[in-house]
Amino acid sequence: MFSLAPWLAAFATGLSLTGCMTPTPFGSDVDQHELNTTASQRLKTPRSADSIRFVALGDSHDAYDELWEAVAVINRIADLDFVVHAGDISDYGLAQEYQWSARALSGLRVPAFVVIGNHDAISNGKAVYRDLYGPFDFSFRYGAYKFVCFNSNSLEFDGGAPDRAWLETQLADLQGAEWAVLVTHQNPEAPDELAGSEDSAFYERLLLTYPIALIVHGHLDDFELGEWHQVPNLQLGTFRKTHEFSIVSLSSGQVSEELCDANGCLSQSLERETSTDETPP
Amino acid sequence: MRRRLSLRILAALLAMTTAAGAERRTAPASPTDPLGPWVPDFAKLQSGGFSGTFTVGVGYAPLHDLLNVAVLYGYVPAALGGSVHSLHFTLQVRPLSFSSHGVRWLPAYAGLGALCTWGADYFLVPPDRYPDDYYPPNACHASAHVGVELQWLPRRGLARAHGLYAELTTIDTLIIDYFQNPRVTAPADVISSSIGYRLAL
Repeated sequence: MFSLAPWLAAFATGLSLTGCMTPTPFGSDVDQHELNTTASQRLKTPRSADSIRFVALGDSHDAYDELWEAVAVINRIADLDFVVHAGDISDYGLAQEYQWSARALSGLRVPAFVVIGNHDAISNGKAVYRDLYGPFDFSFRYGAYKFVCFNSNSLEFDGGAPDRAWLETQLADLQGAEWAVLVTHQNPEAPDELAGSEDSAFYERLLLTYPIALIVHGHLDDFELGEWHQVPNLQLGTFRKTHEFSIVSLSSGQVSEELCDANGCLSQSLERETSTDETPP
Repeated sequence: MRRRLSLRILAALLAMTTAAGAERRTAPASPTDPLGPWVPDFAKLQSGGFSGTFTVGVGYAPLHDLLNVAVLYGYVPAALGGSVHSLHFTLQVRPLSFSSHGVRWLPAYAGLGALCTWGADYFLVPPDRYPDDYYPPNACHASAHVGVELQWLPRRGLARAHGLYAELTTIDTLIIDYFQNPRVTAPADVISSSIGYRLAL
């Protein structure tokens, strides 16, 4: 006689383990909301109006455990003000993927801001991002810097990104800050864009018009430290592959950067003549 | 020791399969397919299991219900994280069943499927505006499920069985993420339970 009890018990255990009947993986239901707004509310008063220090990373995709491990390393960094993630915190734009990244980042002792990446905008990802993080374009002022974080995923938004009018307005009024820092997913110098949209020419005009201290972007595989019209352009590289993140220091409009992983950091100044040396995290 | 245990498990499985076959052979005689080959062999109502909050489906049960092939349409209302429409194509193997006193018990079955949805940002082949290999297909995901079912077998009428079933379902990308990220993910993140009613005709 085949006993029913073990099967029933196993199934009941399974049901209780799942704890829910998730109706669809394609939905936008998330258990946290407006995390970028929450992050801006958590910002502390800068230690110095002129000098700030933040971590930047991007393209973590499905490396949720590695992101969680990086958070532990980031939490040991002294005098850190906040973290910015330059997008692609998911692979398929699924709500569950978003929530795993949010879960990993929730361990940070400093606020974290997340920009939307192109992978975050497929499937139902746009709705998930809006619910979980808030508007696609947002800004916050910290000390002498205004961080202008914007959606640059032209292909996924059918030319609706970047919102040029919003960007111009944000940069025209720095709200008392001296410098702007652009944080976005695509490389403004060479974005993936709809034919004829000429986003790069638009960004170029912004650089030549407004006091922009730094561009931070993701999307491309390799870490790269460059300049575009004398403005430092920090390409973060794909965290999923490298497990690396950057510590960026801004002081009087000057930029220095340390490339870090779980084992330590490699200091690289954006002033080319400065030498490179090893420092502990 | 391990070999002896494996042989015992194999023997038990063979015995169960044989018993299941015997159950089928001794089931009350009825026309093989009284409604004709084009009328589905069963219809389903379901909730959960990644298929939708409200799901309806139909399917065929060839080889005396050993296999079930079904398509389910599911809907998730906007208030519950939608509005999402989906189609779930499933192939189920039901090797174990035990009947007694008008009740049939399927203690375990398993299946694979394709869970598909549609919308502006879903595609099987990325639109032309994207570079080659920019994205993998995201409109369909492979799925897998296991379940149990309890059927009541009426003596007369059109219905051959009224079944209540419960299943656990997962999809490809989530279960892969689960195994690759054991620290951040949890079983409840990647498995969705469902309950349903199955009317066999």
